[in-house]
Amino acid sequence: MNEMETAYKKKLAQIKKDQQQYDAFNSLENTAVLAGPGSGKTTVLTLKIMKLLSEIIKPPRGLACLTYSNEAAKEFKKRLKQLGLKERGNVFLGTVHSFCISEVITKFAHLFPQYNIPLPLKIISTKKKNQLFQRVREELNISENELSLTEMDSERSINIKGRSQVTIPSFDLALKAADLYERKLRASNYVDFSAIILYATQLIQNEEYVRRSLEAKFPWILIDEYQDLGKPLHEMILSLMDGTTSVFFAVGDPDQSIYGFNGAVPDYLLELSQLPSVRKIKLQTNYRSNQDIIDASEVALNPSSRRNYRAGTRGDERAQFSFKVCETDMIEQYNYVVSEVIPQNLEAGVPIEEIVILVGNKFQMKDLGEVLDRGGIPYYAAKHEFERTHVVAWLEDCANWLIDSEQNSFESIFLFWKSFLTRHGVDILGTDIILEKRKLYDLLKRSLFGNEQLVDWIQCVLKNTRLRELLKNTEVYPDENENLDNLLKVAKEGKFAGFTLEQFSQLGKPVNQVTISTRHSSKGLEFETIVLLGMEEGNFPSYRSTTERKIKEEYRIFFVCVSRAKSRCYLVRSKVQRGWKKKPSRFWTNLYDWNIQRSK
Amino acid sequence: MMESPYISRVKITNYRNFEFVDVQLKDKQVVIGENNVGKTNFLRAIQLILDPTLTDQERFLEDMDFYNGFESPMEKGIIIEIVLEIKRFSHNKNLLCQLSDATVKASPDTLRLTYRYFPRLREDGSIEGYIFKIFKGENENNEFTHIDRKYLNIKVIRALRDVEAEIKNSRKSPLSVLLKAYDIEKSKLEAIAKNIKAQNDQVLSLSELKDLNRRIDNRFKDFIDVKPDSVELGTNEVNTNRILTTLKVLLGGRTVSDTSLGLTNILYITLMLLAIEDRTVPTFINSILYQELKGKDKAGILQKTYKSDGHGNYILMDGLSSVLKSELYEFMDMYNPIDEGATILAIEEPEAHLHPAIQRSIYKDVFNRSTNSVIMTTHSTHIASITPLESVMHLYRRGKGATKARSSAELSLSEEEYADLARYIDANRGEIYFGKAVLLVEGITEEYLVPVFADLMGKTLDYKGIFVCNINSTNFSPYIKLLGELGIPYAVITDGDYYEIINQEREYHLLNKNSGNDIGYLGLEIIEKLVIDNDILSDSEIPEDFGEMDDLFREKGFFIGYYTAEVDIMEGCYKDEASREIISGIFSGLTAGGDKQKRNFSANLEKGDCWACLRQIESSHSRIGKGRFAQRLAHHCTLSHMPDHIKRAIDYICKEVEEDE
Repeated sequence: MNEMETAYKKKLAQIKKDQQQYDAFNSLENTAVLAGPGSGKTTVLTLKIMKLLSEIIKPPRGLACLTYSNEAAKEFKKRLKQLGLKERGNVFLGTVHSFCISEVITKFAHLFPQYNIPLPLKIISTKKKNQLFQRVREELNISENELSLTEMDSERSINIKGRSQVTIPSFDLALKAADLYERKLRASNYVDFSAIILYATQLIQNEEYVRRSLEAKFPWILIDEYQDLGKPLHEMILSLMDGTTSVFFAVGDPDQSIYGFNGAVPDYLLELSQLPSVRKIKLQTNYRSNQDIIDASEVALNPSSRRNYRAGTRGDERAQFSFKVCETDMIEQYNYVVSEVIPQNLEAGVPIEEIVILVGNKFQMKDLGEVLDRGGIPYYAAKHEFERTHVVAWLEDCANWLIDSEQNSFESIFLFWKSFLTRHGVDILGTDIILEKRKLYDLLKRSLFGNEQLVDWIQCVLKNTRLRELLKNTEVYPDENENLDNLLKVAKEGKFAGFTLEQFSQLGKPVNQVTISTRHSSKGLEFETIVLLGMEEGNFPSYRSTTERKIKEEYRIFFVCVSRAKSRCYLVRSKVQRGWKKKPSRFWTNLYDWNIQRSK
Repeated sequence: MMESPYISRVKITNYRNFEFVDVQLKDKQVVIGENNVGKTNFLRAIQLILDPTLTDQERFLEDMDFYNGFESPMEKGIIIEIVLEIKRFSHNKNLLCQLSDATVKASPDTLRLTYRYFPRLREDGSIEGYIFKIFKGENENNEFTHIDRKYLNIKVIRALRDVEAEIKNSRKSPLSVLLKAYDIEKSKLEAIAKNIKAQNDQVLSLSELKDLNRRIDNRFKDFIDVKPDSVELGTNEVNTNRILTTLKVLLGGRTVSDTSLGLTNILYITLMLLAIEDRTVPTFINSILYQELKGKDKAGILQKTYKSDGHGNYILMDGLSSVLKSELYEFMDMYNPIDEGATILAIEEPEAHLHPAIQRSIYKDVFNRSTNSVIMTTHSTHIASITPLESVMHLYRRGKGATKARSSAELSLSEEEYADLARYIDANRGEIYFGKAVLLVEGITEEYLVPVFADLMGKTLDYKGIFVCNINSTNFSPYIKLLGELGIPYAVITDGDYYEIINQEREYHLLNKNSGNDIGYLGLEIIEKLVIDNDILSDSEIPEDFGEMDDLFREKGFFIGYYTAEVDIMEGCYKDEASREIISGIFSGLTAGGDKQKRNFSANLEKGDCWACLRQIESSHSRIGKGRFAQRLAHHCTLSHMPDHIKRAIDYICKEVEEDE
């Protein structure tokens, strides 16, 4: 048995012990997996993909696994490779967005000219998009405070028609702006992220041939983080579920749906899980946190029905909760973190990268950063300095291949490069292919010399491939050059400056640093200790969250924050903020009261 | 079973005989054409894209593969392109998922594959060399590869093939393909192999063999004493894998080599058709698979479609409804998927060595029952005569020019027209397809006389490959549609059927004596309607004047007499004594009537009362009839008997054919 088979068997043995995970793994019908925090959903998904491809689905058919982010897709690919997944046709692993482009629009849009989808797809840059939106606002006399671009985009996605019974009150001003914006966008012959998704949804909903082709390629479709994906994907799935024989496996947690600003609400996953043709499986064992934290997170959520999450590790461990009341302003809270929280944790043996400090917004992150600097505490700001786009992922692949050419394939590196060139107007044919291949091979091999530092290596590759030049007039990756600027900036910054090629994938992760993050951005992360600042009513939940829907989302944000912790949880508030007396946040109070009760 | 994909369109540019052809095909396609017109090259063009047995080396073409109208084509940068469109594939999920990227039309589902052989240019625009690419759909970067070819391919059976060798070849034989599909359990075969070995070994226990064994062993040791230190007799190892390949097909208890070649061909084609069938729905399911599938069968479809064979295995029932068939197909495609696609079969000259009656019966079966797409090239009128009318493709060449291709795929006929034409072609053994040109005539008189008149003119029709087709009516429309679609030149000879309007009624069978009555010609009216209905001329192009109208129709190949054929013949020659005597002589020789009747006939003819003469020929007293009269006249007639419109028709059709040369 080789290494990969061993890894697969080992993982399999592991999930066999968890009946719920094992049920999900074996389920061969439409399934919605409601997976609580730390419940091992990624393991279940990856093993399930392996099982389907080795036992259930015969070539040339395959499957699609849709993720929320490029990063998640990359993580899936990595794990599947470790489990021994072989390259094979018709297996799609990627974001909903790239699925819509590569599997729906480029394959089918030309067959249905009645949709007027501008082909080939030209993707609008963020800058141009902002300008377009600006013009829409001017023409309709809408002020900046009345409507943001995000709100308009969210409205565009919520507004799509289909089978879902979920109703979300519409925002008329956003709708009006969306209408004008879409007309302008169409006239410009560009598409944006939302337009791509909307076009693809229409093709799937209306065209039987598209559905049948997708069904033929993908007898199984698996979706991760369903709660974050919004209405268009939901309608795509409902349409395919009704009109094809494909089987669906959706994984997510309605309680972790906190991207309402993008049009993502928990209702869609709940609706899916309640369909009579869908089997609902809950994953209730939490392999991250101890039972106290789990219980606290349930209190945080304030659910009408108990989630009954149980700790799968850390059996008898007790959690530590701290409720700190400061006198005035945020600054006192920041100082408290520096002078007490961090020393306490370090003393208790918690490594510094196992601590996260969660604040309300990026301004608070900046202020906190300054205080940490003064206190001599190294920190890492978990905001997206650069994105792991296809191009960045390719650079990472190049680095990995240079380090270990046995585990990584040059062929797939070249395939991306070839398609990149074609999509940027460089046609390579016949024997040119081998010449181009040799060129890439040589320049990558040569890039190893004299470029020990990661930043130098990246610059060398960018220069010799002429990548940035090609990206200047790109219609495919309009924001990529700026993203590469950001990547280089990060790679150059103090703590990453000494990085070698091996550490590429560690770029943008904490190294001997405490992590600071907004509450929203903490999703998907985990730490031994979490520190929640600004726990005053009006700040969290925000005074702007006036509707019931928004308040409920704030509860879910609090749930997400608390469930990041494995064992320690600090809640900090001030009596006075900017001269105003502040009541404790309802979240602070709930947890405080629960903790008192518990201790009795 | 579900119908398999077929090539619906072939477009060839600059390849071998073909400068440019673009032709529609049907799922059963018969390709006809003279020798050397390029039938094999037509198939070869398809093979460049779809044949998995061709190597990449063979897909690199040479100078001589370019259309021969070009001098040094590879210096000029001429491009060869072959485009195939394929329909009816999307019910098969393997094909759909593998090839949906090649789709050019969603409804009806159509995909396109393109082979292109083109020059690689240096920076300065000069030609460095040639390369080929095969791509799917409209995106040239979307390569069609051997993996795609695994799921959609063509199998060509050559005309002069060594069928015996292929049937016997254990690896390539269609029989072994069929056996393999059953996926017989290895343990069963192992048990059989063990038994065979044990049976074989019994021979060793014969005393005679023991003695022989001892003698060999001793003698061997006389020469040399090494290890292995004994020599023994043994039987062959029985290889499990080879048990199946040793199977033979017996015809009437004899092995293939003993049978006549004709039957061997039928056997080969039978096996081949079975081997390329869509196997998504198995005809046989063993007990293990049946139980497994039953677990997934919520709708209970297996019970309705399979019956037990009494040994725990299950056999597909016959005569399932089409609804049930398609449900079963979906079910099997979903739960018992097979890693196969579809094969299109091409057979060159399938008539080889087959008795005409057998040709008709086996290809009728192929056309009607086989779900696979089949392309045949043939010279056989027997096969052509049973080919569905819309499934004929005609390859032809004008002079030394490029080969053209026309097909009847888009032939549009009413149901009656279709039935009439099909019956005619079947009854006449498909000869209409094989003429270089066709003279369509309306009756037996022309059928007998036209070839003779042509001989007399020194233009023997047979030598020129011109067929005279008597359609026994004036219903020319379906014939000219078919011939028009196939690009076969034709001319029509029909009666004028002169009439006068007397008391507001049409009166026929009159001679034109300038009576002052309104006159007309039924023949002109029929042809006028025909040319308008068939878009040969538009209403406004047709002049009022009968003479001008007649001239125009002749330009288009429609030759109209004045009265009726016999009357035109007699009317044209009665003033000439010698000609008249020939006709009178024939009448006298054939009639059952007496001398008085014979004298009356001669008198009528002499005064030019040709209608009266015709009535006598057809009368019950003479018992001659038009057919017999024409038959006899054919032996004796001279050029003076030839009506003008027939002469013109012969000149016209000969010119059409001569333009070919």
